[in-house]
Amino acid sequence: MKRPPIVEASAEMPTSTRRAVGKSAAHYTAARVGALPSVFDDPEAARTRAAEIKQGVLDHLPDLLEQLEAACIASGIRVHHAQDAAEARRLVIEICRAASPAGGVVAKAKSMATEEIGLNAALEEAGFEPVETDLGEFVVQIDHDHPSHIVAPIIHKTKEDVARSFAREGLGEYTEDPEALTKQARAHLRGKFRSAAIGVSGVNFAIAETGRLALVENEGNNRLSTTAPDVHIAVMGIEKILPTEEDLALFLPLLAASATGQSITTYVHFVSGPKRGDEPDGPREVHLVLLDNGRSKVLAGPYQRILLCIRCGACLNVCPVYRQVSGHAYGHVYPGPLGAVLVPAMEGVEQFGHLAKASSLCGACEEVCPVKIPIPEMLLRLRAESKGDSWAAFAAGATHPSLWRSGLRLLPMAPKVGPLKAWSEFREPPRREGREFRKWWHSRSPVTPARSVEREPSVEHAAPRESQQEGASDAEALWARFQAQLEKLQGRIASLKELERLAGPWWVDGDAAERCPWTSTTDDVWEANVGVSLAVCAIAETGSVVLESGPAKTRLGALAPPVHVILVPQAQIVATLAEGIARMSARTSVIATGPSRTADIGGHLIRGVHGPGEVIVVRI
Amino acid sequence: MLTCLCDAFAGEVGIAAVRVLEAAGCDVEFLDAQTCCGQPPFNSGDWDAARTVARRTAALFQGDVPVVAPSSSCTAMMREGYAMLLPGESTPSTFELVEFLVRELGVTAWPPSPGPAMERSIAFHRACHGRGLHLGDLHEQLLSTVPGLQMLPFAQVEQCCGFGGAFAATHGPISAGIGMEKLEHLLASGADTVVSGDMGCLLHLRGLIERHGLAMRTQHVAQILAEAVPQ
Repeated sequence: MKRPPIVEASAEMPTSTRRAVGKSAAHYTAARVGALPSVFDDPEAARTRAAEIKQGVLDHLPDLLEQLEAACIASGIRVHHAQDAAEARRLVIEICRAASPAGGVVAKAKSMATEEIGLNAALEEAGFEPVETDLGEFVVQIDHDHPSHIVAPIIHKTKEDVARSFAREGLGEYTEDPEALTKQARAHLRGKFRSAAIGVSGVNFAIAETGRLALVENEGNNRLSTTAPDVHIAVMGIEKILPTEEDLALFLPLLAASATGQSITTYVHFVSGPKRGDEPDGPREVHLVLLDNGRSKVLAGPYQRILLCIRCGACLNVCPVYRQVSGHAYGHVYPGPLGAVLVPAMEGVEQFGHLAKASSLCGACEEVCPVKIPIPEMLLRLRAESKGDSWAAFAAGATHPSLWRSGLRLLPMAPKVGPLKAWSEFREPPRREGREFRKWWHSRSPVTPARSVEREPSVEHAAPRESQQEGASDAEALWARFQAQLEKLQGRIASLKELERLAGPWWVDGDAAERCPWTSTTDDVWEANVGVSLAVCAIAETGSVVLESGPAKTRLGALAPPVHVILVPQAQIVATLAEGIARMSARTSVIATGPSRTADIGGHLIRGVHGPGEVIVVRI
Repeated sequence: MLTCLCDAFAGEVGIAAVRVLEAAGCDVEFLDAQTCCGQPPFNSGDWDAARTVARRTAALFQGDVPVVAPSSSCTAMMREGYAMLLPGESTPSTFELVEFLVRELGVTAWPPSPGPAMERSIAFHRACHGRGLHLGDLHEQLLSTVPGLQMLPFAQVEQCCGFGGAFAATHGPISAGIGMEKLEHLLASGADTVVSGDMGCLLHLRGLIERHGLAMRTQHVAQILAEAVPQ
């Protein structure tokens, strides 16, 4: 029997890889289970609402795309349309050539859309040096490998694998310590950020109402890639729209909790056009490439709902098949249950229909999906659409009871032929034990006199959870909550006085200088040890701060120095993420939550990968 | 409805299911003309063949009498699968055995009349088709009321055993790999028996246990419940 491609592709996978994938996937699955109820009073209602909002987006996609484009143009973002991967590559390269005719470094933030269109190879061919700046993607790139997971690109590599790669590339002394390895990558990539003329990113959510692009990440590389270079190009699948900014208060925590068990990612970068005349840093051009590449076809077909996907990766993590074979075996950039539907739907069942059969149909993917995509049902429909073996003989047997009974009687005696042969390759064949049911049934004495079956009403199982009432908390209670959340992430609150012993040099934003005793001791933000910013407000429920761009505000001051001090005016604290989002001005902003972090290397949590490793909040 | 796997291999499970339903006060009928719910061709993508089988089975079981199967898999097929395969057509009301006991009959403790304590430790594996039926921990809840029956916890309970019907044959190495991981967790619980509500999971796990000489046996939840009923 010819083995399915996924079996072939995974046959040579080392046990250590499977163990690494399984361990991380199980970790993320458990983290998700733990996070959802702590983030949402009613996770089920949150998923239902999210599915409705995304379905509304699909139902009105052409209108929303028009609205988004108009809003982007109004904020200075240049919008481009790409029908397919080739057109998208061409558009990106044209923008790069115009921005930097001599070639040079293109700093890339992690993006599945650019993986999908094969952008790196095209950039290299056009004379540019694309540099993946996400730690995991960086390892993938230096290894000439591909990501095996849509959120955790090197889930298939151990820390020993990374250690060997870094030593081979001359990044530093050989070490297997994830923290030391992370520092080596940080040091290496710093120079790339500074020399890049162009930054390329994906988009997590584009807001039709305001034309704002929301980019989520934990490391800070995404913000650096889209802040330090002169030109920022964002590539986004056309379905990644949300109607309003308010929707983000639902989707940001839903995505973070589903993906990594966080209540919000360390950074949520809100891009509102290029740097304005009065702003000290930021790209002077922002481009948005809207990528179709088969999505319109999917939208019009029976697998439309796979476009609800927000790319959290929860279905990969929980999938028993994914855990066994890892991502590469799927033969496409989108692996796992998501890929098993999206890829054949986008690229045709002739080539990829076999992926739909690589599933035990256990349904765990649907159960964890934050937007309730009925993946198993779609896998079944894909199987029906692909040409498979005929079961006509089986149907004939199953519609003739005598034929059926004799077939079943023979089955246990024939482990070497038919369906039991393939079964027996890996397991002992099943045997009949004990009595045959039908014989027993017919040998029974007539059934006991009729007794009426008393039906009782169904038992109520899901007692509604009391929603936690946020009382009219005063500012002090909110600050206490903020502090608790921040400390969970290893951030801290301090007084100005306590900060005097921090080692300089200092970089202090103009508007922060008025509120604190220090002035800048360096005029190169990349050289500073401490960056000081003034926040718009703090968010109690997530331990976040809102930072915006402005005349006396840098973006890099919050990113480049290893220590970030954030001044928050005493009264500027809000309870919820939704209130925090509402406080943002129309300028490019960020919601920052704790220190920069990564768990890419062997699942070890390391702080300070590209952004600051130490975050200190001062109430002023 | 007897499942085809019970029909072919595990008659004792069918017998136990009848005993359990009778202990709960039901009159049980068995239709000798029954064959299969149609899931194998349905899951394999031959919906024409599946439709032929499903229509026959739906017609055979039509009427007001609830249909009970000792399998969430067959139940899910007759509830969700038929809705996809035979949209708009009337299909029988089908229940998984424990679902029927708890949600339809209102059984809250087992056995209905006191019997001897069992003194057994088991690990309970949730069959995946229980997800679509929203069974949650219904089996564990009922089993936890059986006197003397101890359920031992184990890691990654949400993970499938890797059976998956035809998948077990077409994707053998992957299916077996998933099963071995499941067994690793089950063995670590210290239980000597894995109990589940579906014969598919149990035949697959038993085949792996025997191939690899592991110290564990398999039993269907109907057998445990029948064992708890006083003779």
